[in-house]
Parts: sequence; C-alpha cells; structure tokens
Amino acid sequence: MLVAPAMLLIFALLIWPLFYTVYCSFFKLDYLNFGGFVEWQNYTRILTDKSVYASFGVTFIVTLCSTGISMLLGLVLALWIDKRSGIMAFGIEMVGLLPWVISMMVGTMLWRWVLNGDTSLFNHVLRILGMEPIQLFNRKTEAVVTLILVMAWRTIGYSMVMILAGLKSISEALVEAARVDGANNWKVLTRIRLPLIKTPMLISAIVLTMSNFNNNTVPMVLTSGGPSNATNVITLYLYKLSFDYYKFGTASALSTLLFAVNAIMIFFYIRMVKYDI
Amino acid sequence: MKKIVKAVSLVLVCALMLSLLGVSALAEEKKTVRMWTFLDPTNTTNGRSVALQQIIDKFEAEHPDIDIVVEPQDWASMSTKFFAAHAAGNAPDICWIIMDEMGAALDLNALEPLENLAIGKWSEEEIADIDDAFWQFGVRDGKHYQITFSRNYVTIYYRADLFEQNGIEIPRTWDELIAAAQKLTGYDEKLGVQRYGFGLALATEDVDPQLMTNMILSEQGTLFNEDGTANWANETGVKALETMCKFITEYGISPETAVSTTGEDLWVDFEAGKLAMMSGGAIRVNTVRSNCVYDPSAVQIMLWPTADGEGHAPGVINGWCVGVWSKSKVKEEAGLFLEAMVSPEADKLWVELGGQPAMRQSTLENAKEYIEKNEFLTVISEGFLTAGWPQPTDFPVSSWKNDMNNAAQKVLVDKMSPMEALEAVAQDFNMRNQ
Amino acid sequence: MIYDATAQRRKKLLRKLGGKTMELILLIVVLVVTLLPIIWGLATSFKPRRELFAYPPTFIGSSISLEHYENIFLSGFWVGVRNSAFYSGVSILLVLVLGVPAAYGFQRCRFRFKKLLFYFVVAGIPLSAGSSVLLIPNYIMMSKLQMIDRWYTLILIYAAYQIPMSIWIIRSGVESIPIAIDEAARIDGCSHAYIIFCLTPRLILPSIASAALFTFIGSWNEFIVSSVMLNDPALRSIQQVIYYFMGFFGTDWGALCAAACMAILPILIVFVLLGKMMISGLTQGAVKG
Repeated sequence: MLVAPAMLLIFALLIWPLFYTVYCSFFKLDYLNFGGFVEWQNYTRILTDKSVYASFGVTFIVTLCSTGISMLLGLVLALWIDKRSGIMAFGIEMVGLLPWVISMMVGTMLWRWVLNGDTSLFNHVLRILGMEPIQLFNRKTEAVVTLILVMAWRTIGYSMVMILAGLKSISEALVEAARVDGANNWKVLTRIRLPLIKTPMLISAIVLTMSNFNNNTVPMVLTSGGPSNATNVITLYLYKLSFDYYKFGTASALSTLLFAVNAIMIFFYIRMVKYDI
Repeated sequence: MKKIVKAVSLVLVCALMLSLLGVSALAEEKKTVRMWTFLDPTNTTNGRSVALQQIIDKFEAEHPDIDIVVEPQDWASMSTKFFAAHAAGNAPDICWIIMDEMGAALDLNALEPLENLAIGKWSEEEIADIDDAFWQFGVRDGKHYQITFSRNYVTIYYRADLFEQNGIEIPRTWDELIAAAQKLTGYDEKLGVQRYGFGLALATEDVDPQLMTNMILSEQGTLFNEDGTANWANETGVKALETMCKFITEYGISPETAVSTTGEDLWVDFEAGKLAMMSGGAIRVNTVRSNCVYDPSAVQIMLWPTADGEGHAPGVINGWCVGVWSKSKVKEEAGLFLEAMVSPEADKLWVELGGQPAMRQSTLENAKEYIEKNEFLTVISEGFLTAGWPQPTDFPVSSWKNDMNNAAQKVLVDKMSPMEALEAVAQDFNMRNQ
Repeated sequence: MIYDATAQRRKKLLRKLGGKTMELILLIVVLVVTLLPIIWGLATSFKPRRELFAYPPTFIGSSISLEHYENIFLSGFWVGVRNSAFYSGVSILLVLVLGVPAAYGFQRCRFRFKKLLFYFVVAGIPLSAGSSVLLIPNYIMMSKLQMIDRWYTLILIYAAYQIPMSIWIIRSGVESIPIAIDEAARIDGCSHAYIIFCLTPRLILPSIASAALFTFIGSWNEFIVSSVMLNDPALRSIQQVIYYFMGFFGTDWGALCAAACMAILPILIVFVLLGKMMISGLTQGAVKG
C-alpha cells in the first residue's frame, strides 16, 4: 500500500512512544528506575496540585495572547506587502521570517541580553530618551507581557507568510468587480479579502497555538519560569519535573494530559475547517 | 549447473567473510574504554582539555592495547543521559557525574566499587595521599565509588582593586560584610551605572547556592534532618532568609533585579564590573579573569564570614564524581585509566595547565610554584580543609538549591513572611524526595 | 472654484505624504524590533572579547575582531555544518519519498481504516512539536535496538517528526489536481507509479517545495533530540556545536553569537532561492471556494 511505509515510521517513532509514555505514567519512575505500579497516583498528584492549575492558566494566557498578537501583526504586514511588489516586498518577507528560522534558544538569549538588567540595551535607550529604566523580569505582569511579546515576535513571520499566500490567491477580478460597484478600500478589505483568507488564517492560528503551547525553550531561557512562577508555563513545569527532579512517572502522566489537551485543540480545528477525508 | 555454481560460490564467499571477521576479532585484542565528560580533549584552547589529552596520550603509550574514546557531552544533561543510558544498558565505561546526583547514582547501583579495581590495590600511603572530604564522599558500606575531579568551592568573589581603593579589609563577620558592601555600592563614574556591593542570583533555573545557605550552614551545620527531610523552616532559616532579603530591600547592596538573575547572569554582571562581590564557584576564576573588562588580577576570592568572626561559614563544595559503570565490559581497563587520571603526574597537569585545586597532598609540594603564584588555589584548599559542606548522599536531596531561591522569591515577590515561605518550600522538598 | 480645486488637491497630497511617512515610520519600527536581537548578535560576534560586556552598550567595539569566527571554525563548526546538511538533506528525501505516495493514497484511494490512519497522521503534528515529551521513550527504545549514535539515527527521527506536516501539505496539493488529469494519464497508458512519482509532483511543485522547506527548517534548527541521541563528536549537528559554547566554565558569548549567525545563513539562502515556491505551495488547494 502507498500509505504503509510512512505510517510505519509514524507509528514507530511517534505513536508507540506515546503509548509507552501512557504506560510509564502508571508507575513510579524516579531516575528512570521502575519503582512499582502505582495506578492513578501520578495522575492524582498532578490533578490535586494547585500549582499545576496556575501553570495551565499562565500557559493559556500566554499562548492565546501571543498567537493573537502575531496573527494581527502578520495580517497587517501581509496586507501591506500585498500592495507592493518586487524587491521591497521580498525584502520585508525575508525580514519577517528571520525570527522564525533563527535557533529559538539563541534568539531568546539575545532578547534576554537586550532587555534584562540595569545596563541592558533596552534600559540604555530609555535613559537616553530621558525615561526611567524598566526592570522587565522582576515583576509578574511585566515578565508575562515580555514573554508574550517575545513569543509573538518569533511567530509573526509564519502567519505573515501564510496570510500573504492566501491574499495572493484572491483573484483580481473579484476586487475589480467590487471597485466598479463603488466599494472603497475599507469595504474591499473587510468584505472581500478578509473572508477569503479565513482558511489560511485558521491554519496558522492552529499551528501557532500548538507551537506556542508546546514551546518550553523560550520561557526557560527568557524567564526560567518567571519571578515566583509567574511565567511557569506547563511545558516548563514538565521539563523541571523530568530533568530537574527526575520524576519520570509523574512527568509521563503530565505528558499524557498535555497530549490530550493538544488533541482536543486539533479536534476543534478539524471541526472548524470541516475537512472531509 | 549454473545455479549450483552460483550457490556454492555464494556459500564460499559467506564462509570467507565470516572467517575474516573471526580473524579480525581475534586480532582486535584492543579494548576500548568510553568516557563521558564535558571536556573536549581536542580543544586546544582550554587548559583542562589540554591536560586531559596529555593524560590520555601518556596512558595509551603505556597501554598499547587499550583505546580511550572520549565523548564530550553537554554538562547540564550529562547526568540525566547517564541514568537513561544505564537503564537502557549502554552507558559509557567511565562517566563524570555531578556531585548533586551521586546519591541517585548510588541508589541505582550504577557505579562499581573502586575496591574491585586498580585503586583497590593501592598501598596505605597512596590512599592517605588522596584521603580528604572528597575521598570520603559517597562512601557506602565502607566502599568508595568515585574520585572527584574539577573540584569546586562556592565562595565569595571580590574586587581586590575596589577593596584597596576604599581601604576595606576582608570582612570576618556578616555585619562587616554588609558594611563593606554598603561602602562599595554607588554610582561608578567609569562605568556609568550603579554598582552594587553584593550580587545575588535568585532565579529558579541555573541555580548556584546563595548567601542564605551559608548562613544556615554556619549555625546548623546542615540543611537537612537525619531522615532526609528539610530542616530550614526554623529560627535560623528565618534569620538567614530575612537578612538576605534585606540586602535588597533595606541595605540596598543588591539590585532589585536579583529576583530574576540566573547564575549565568551574575557572572556576566561581575565581569562587567557592576558588582563588587558575588557568590560563585571558585572554579571559574580563570574564566572570569579572561572575560572581565577591568584588570584581571583584581579578581580574587575569600572565605565566608561568620556571626562572631571565628572561623568561616561552610561553603558548598561541589565537583564531578568520576566512577566506573557497574555494568561495563571493560571494568579493569576503565579502572586503570581512572587511576591514571589521578596519578601524581596527572594531578600536576590538572593544577598547572587547568588551574584546578590539587587532588593529592603530594601535589601541593610538586606544583608549589604554580600554587603560590595563584593565591586563589590556596584559598580553595583551605576552604576544602576547614570549611566545606558537600551534599549528603544517604538520602535524595534533589533541587534544594532551587527551593532556597524559591523561598526568597516568595518573600520578595509574593510578600510572604519568611517563615511561611520556608515552610512552603520545605513541604515541596519533602514531597518531592519521599 | 479654481481656488477650491487647488486647495483640495493640496489636502490630498498632504494626506498622501502624511500617510506615506506614517507607513515609513511604522515600517522602520517593525524592522528594528524584528531584527534587533539578530543585529545585536551580529554586532557582538565582531567585538573583541573584553568589550563584550562593556557599558554603555555599543554596536561597534573599538575594533572589528574576527577572533570569535576563527574560534568557532577551530572548534568543529564545519563538522556541525556538514553533519546538519547531511541530516537535513537525507531527511527531506526520506520525507518526500514516503510522504508523496502517502498523501496521494490518503487523497485519492479508498481503503479500510483510512480515516483512523489519517487521524494518527494528524495526531503526529503536536507530538513532534512537543518533542521533549517523547524523548525518553524514544531514547530507551532506540538504545535497546542499538540505533543510538549512528549516522541514520537523526535522519529517521527527523523524518518521522516532519512527515505528518508534510503529508498534510502535500495532500492539499494533490487535492487541487482535478481527478480528470489522473484519468487522462491512465488512458494514455501511464503506470500508477509514474503518476504518483513523476506526474503529480511536477504539478504540485510548490507544495513539495513547501514541505521540503518545513522539513529543512525543522531539522536544521532541532536541538534537544540531537543532544540526547548522539554522543560521538564527529556526528554532531550544528545546533549542538552552538550549544557547546555554553560550557561548564562559562558561556562564550562571542563565539555563541558568531556560530548562531553563521547557522542562519544556509536557511536564508534556501529561502531566497525557494521562498516564492513555499508561499504559493502552502495554500494550494487549502483555500476553498
């Protein structure tokens, strides 16, 4: 069968480990040493831990806000580029894509260097402009906002490219017809362009939501979980559980839960776009 | 007919290949010893790497039938990888495990007792030469499982030039420390920024032990109870946490940003001249000297003060425990190489090329010149001898450093009372290490 | 009347100029914010070592120093480039060879469990995004099979991570080919294999390019899996080489920035060459109606 070889690879390296993770979640697994069958204990430990819920809360806020911002800005940029052509447009596209293609870790470290501390570039500029320096990583709200903005920065390029592709596929004839009918720029935008790029927007919304939700590099490098767990997103919590505390049993349980959340998100997406297979 | 010829020739070829393999297997008496470390022997700019390469070369020349293969790893995940590899059955023959994780390694039976290997045959004098707190570390049932390399001592770094300029003596009490820091806090003309007297790193990732730990150790001697539960939610702990937080809130000798400063950030700040003092591992003296924007010889270290000026508060000692994998197929050979890495000649190389504190008493004599030229090595040695505290290995104590910083964050950011904060993190710690 | 017309024209001109300046300002702000850390990294990589942390921060140090670039090439940077290029290249091949028939199969054929299997494919996308979740089980399994630390280890894993997304993209591409074309080809006597491997790809080249590009970025920038699965320094990927500069004795910021900037170059080059195709390939067939 045509589909077999690909499915084999997917099963071996993606699906099977998932089942193995679920299997591990029922054991006590510290330091990778199989301790003993503990049934649902790992799950109850997670579900009764208040900090897990706080963590989920932060994760949702950060994911939704950063996806929202990057979609909005991506839209604006795409609309802007669509009007132009040639080198300028191509140049802006490349620039927009750079944050997406640079190594996440190095990009985030550089942001931290630029923003953090009394003598950072950011505060230096503020001083030159005569303002008071702002400490971005000390207080909870500022830290969360900075995290949202850096995550949005990383993904703007992607949404810009997707939406631009959608815009380019809108046939000019439609726009012409609308103009002949007397529509001004705003009407063309809202009544014709936006509805027709609904699909690429939805695709990027889902891909970006998943990418941001599952991202643990950026929060870890940028804020290490923030002042007093203010930016301790759930993936960071999972990382700490596995690699700082070595509690792999509990970590497996949390991974399973996370996967369930991801699956729900995809389910809604498939529903919304109504693909028939 | 053709088919038969084909079949026969195929069989013959297979037989030939198999026999060749067999021959080569016989000829390959060479044993390979795999070692995981964060040092890369091919790196010619790093003194320690150069030392390691020389040790390897000498060993391979003396033992032509043993091949040493070094696989450099990322230091932060090396221990985790080792545990995973131990579970999977393909761990390296020698591994460098950070002291923090030694307890876990012992619980997993991942290491071979050194008594069964080359070191087991050492004479009493030879053992006495390396007998110290590090040799005693991780001993179970009288058996030793590791030799500690890259020994580190977390103590106070200070700017000798600033101390001299301001006529400050090395502080012997906590109050003197605070006074000194206050004197050194102020606007630095040359730098153009506020300089702080004492830097703190209170983030919960990339954690180094901070001042509060040393204060508690000075009064209690340890952070834990006999059964392995946390022992810091008490008067001593409260006083230590309060004092440390006052560095920021009252005395103004630490910046507000300490709450989000990681261990790495602290080094950068010190190297940039924004801090007059900080707490850090002595192992980085040479790195700091090569990166700092001011005169390198101004980078010096001192031992911790105490409440009454007598003696020194214990500094946390750390290091990399090098042991032989319990399921290795070349244990003997691995043991021989481990012995070679800690031989008198090797130790001299580690000290002189790598700038490391000596592992043997005899090296203090052999490398006397170098040690005298580099005062910090003497400070470290004194610290090891008189005022050092290694983590316990009898019970799991994972991430206590993160918990200490967490308590500080709770007080500074969430405005909890110190006792509440300490109790909260003690609960976390106990639950995690049951 | 004439006065009115000129005034009106002047107003229009002013508004246009005002609008254009606004646009220009906005554009500059966007560019600066997007590129700021990258420019900073670039600037740092050319500063002499002792000036890296100097205050006030400057973009150009007292001299342009190439020491960091020299340093990274002496520390095995080429090995990383060579290895990553190899891993990415072969992963792309593997993904396309397995993915195109699979996408075709899902789109055009009917077979049992099709829906179920496709759900598995779709489930693969978040699994590969949150790859640290699957890391330990994968590691244990592969080391039991002695497949750790080999030249094909990363290729298999990267291909597995990127195939779901690629099948998704290529499938929409196949969807946009009217089935009439397939039928015409059959009538003309083309074999099934020809249709799948030669005809269809040629028609949906943008989708293929886009899948290839995604695979390339995913493999080139991937770090965690490579650091866990590989031990031999000769097999290191480029991200591992970069990360190595955050050593135990301190982070070598200069070398780190130099290495990171050099690592972006290949991706940029690929984008400049294939970028246009990627953009049209992403939404071929996805925009309905």
